[in-house]
Amino acid sequence: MSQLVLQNLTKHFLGATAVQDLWLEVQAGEILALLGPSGCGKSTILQMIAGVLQPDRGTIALDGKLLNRVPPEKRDIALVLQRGLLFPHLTVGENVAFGLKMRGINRAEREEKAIAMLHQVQLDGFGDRKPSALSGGQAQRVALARSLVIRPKLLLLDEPLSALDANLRAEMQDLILRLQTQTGVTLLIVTHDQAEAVVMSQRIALMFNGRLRQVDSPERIYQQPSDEPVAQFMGGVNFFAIQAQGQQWKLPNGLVLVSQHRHQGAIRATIRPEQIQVFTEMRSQNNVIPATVIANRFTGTQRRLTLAIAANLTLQAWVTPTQDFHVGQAVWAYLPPENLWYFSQTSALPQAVEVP
Amino acid sequence: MPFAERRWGLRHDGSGLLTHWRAYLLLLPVTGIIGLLFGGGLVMAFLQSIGAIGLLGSGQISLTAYQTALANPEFLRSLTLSVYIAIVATGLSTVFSIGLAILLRTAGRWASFACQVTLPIPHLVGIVGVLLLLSPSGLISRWLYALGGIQSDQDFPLLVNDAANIGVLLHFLWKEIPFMTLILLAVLRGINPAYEMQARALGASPWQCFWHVTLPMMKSGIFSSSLIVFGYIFASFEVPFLLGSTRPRTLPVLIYRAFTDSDLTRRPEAIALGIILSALSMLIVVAYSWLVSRNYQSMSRV
Amino acid sequence: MLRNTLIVLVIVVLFLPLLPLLVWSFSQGWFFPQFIPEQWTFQHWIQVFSPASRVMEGLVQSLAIALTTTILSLLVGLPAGRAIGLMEFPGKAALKLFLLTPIIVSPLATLMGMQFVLIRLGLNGTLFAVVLVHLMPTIPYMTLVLASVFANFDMGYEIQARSLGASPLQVLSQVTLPLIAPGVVVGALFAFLISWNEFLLTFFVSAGRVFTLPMVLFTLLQGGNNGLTAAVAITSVVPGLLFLLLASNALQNETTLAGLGNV
Repeated sequence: MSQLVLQNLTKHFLGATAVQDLWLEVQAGEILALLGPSGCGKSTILQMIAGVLQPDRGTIALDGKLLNRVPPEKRDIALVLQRGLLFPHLTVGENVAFGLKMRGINRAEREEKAIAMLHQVQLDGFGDRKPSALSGGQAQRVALARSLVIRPKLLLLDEPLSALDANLRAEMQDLILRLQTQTGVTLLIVTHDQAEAVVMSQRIALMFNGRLRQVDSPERIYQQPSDEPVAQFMGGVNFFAIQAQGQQWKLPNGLVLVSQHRHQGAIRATIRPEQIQVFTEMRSQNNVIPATVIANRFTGTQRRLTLAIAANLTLQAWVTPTQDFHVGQAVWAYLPPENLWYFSQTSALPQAVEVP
Repeated sequence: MPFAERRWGLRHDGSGLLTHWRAYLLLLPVTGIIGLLFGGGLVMAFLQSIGAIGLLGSGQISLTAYQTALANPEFLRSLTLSVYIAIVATGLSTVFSIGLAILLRTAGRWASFACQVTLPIPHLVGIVGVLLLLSPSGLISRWLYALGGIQSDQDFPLLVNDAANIGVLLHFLWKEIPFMTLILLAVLRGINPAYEMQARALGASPWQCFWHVTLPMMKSGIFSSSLIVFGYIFASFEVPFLLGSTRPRTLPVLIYRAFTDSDLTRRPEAIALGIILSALSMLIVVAYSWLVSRNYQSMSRV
Repeated sequence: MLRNTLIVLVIVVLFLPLLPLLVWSFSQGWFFPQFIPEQWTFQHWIQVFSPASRVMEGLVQSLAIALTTTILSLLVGLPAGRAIGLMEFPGKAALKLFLLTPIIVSPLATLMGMQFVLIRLGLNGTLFAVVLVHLMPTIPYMTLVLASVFANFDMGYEIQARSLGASPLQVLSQVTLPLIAPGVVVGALFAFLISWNEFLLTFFVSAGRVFTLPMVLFTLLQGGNNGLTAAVAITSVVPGLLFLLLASNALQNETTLAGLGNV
């Protein structure tokens, strides 16, 4: 049985709908990312799960027990807000022990647990400091310690890394994942950063405008997005029209690609930029097409090439930077059949949507 | 509009009166008490002034009290004096407070604290101080004498209980400038200095920067603090009574005299005058809110 | 440099009226054009503390009234301030204006009306009546200050606390109140000072039975004993000044005060 079950969850604000008919199941010990652009309603869902916001419709159940009428302090769910919000009038140690104090645990035991938790987040000796003396990264760690020390069943993180510098982010990601392994807590992370979601989670629930679009592992969302907006959000940039006849996919300029998927009719095809291979010499294989380099950008880890295929068709190919290209150079682009994906233009439903 | 905004949860609870019941409930004690005391008091006073109830109330509604009040030759002179004092004192206080707030903006804690120490001093104490300082036999007069500026206490210009009410004005300046400065300083410190830096970087002189950037950003603070001060001065009794001219008197002093007159028939007249005074003050509040709403329509809030 | 000179000048002018007060309270017969009193005396101060002059009695009454008024206005002002600071609702702008009326509109007519009712109820001349009228100007100030405090209060703290297991009551006592404490002090300071310095309102409902320090002072001001008047004046300043010093830390929190400029 799933640990957390959301059914038909709906919430309106001032006439507009924040969340519409949401169905989601989360397994115990799982790491799920709630991904979507700002304003899509994901923070609202977290608030409803935590109990600080009441849904207009729908149910929330934890381990089979209905939570709708249960106040937040009795839900055994810990919420860490975006800004950390360490209580400024308490020391770091008192902050971490706060949840324990609310549960009536005596002082000696509280202090012991707080110190142990601070050790786990690598902040030994910070117990007597005031929150104002902490850096952003340190404050975030205290916030994590504060919510994990009470051993919740479910930990909700609202954009935990968005306020941190880029180099701190990787460190914090590691810490969060490590803590999750150590404690086994079910983790629900809200983020608008698809790269973050992909790195940190086992499953991604992608949302637009209050509705779930795709719930899948990161690999599948990358390789098989359910529709074009999903693909675009995940960083996909190559979308082009195809006339499909079975497995023969005809490009606008007449060239034919071979694909692993069969379809009949007009479709929108996509391929991720990292999967296109660029050769300086012609190869007689399927799916190798001539192209001209029209832009070349070095990002440190990649070389991002914009290739002109036909009059209205350009593709982005992101290759390893070992080889350099110059603008105007004639190349051959290889689009591996296994990496070609498509969205049917005629069907109303998105492809491969998973309704748990 | 993003839903996960700056403030959480309760702020956007949907529309409709019923969903705001929490807010109205929290406001009930305050609105109830003020409505009962202030509103109720006014209603009672009004009823007295038209003769419906009261010591001499015959139960017959009439407007004679108002007629007597308005026919009183002193009324117009009192009104003019009250308005004159309020406008001059508020205007000067505002200008000086803005200046002082700007001076203190970059000064240390002790400077601003020192300027606010006189705030808790009651008006009455200030009146005593002003009297002892500025009366013909007061301290300043004695200093002038010692310096040879005047020959006797009669030569010292009349500053208290004088026709121009200079003592009154000075007292209000002394009391209200720290008050307004306190508020304006806080407003000023809440302004992001980046705006002014940007203005200077675009070529504005210090004065231009002040006039076109800083001052507009202080507008609402200036409006509301000057409104409070104006209202207070307009309604002030102790200060003009003790420091002001004996003729004409300000409106509150006129009312006080009428009310405490041993001739009890003057009571309804006093109350009528009081109602008129309250009505005038409320007019000011209405005018202010109209001005402010017009102001906010024409300029975007920063 | 110019700035500092100007500031010093302002401070000197502000403190100037206090100078004669101090000197007069210790002088015996200080006539024009004497610069310094010929005779010094403690007589005025002795009088202040003697029961016969009833000055101490007035001080105690003032204190009792001011403290009661402050506590009452705090109790009603806290929920109201929270509603205005944190919630949106129809009629909010009108409500803020409504709150301003007792501060701006002349209370004379209202007082005359209230006195009428209080006489009928037999409450005229009681401490209760005085506290009641003092609530009129103190509640608006208290509410507006608290509204500003709450407007700057991040509700996220309360949500975080609930999520960590705090009941609503625990949230209030462990999180909310400690965090708004400085603002509460400022509001209490305003309320206390307003009530402490209030003359006219007290006068109308005192019926000669209640007398506060301002009333003592008012009577003395119409007499000729400058020395005693000065001594009583200084006495009435002391508690307010003490409160201000205690609250000086809280007054540095300017965001609260800026709220008064935001009506």
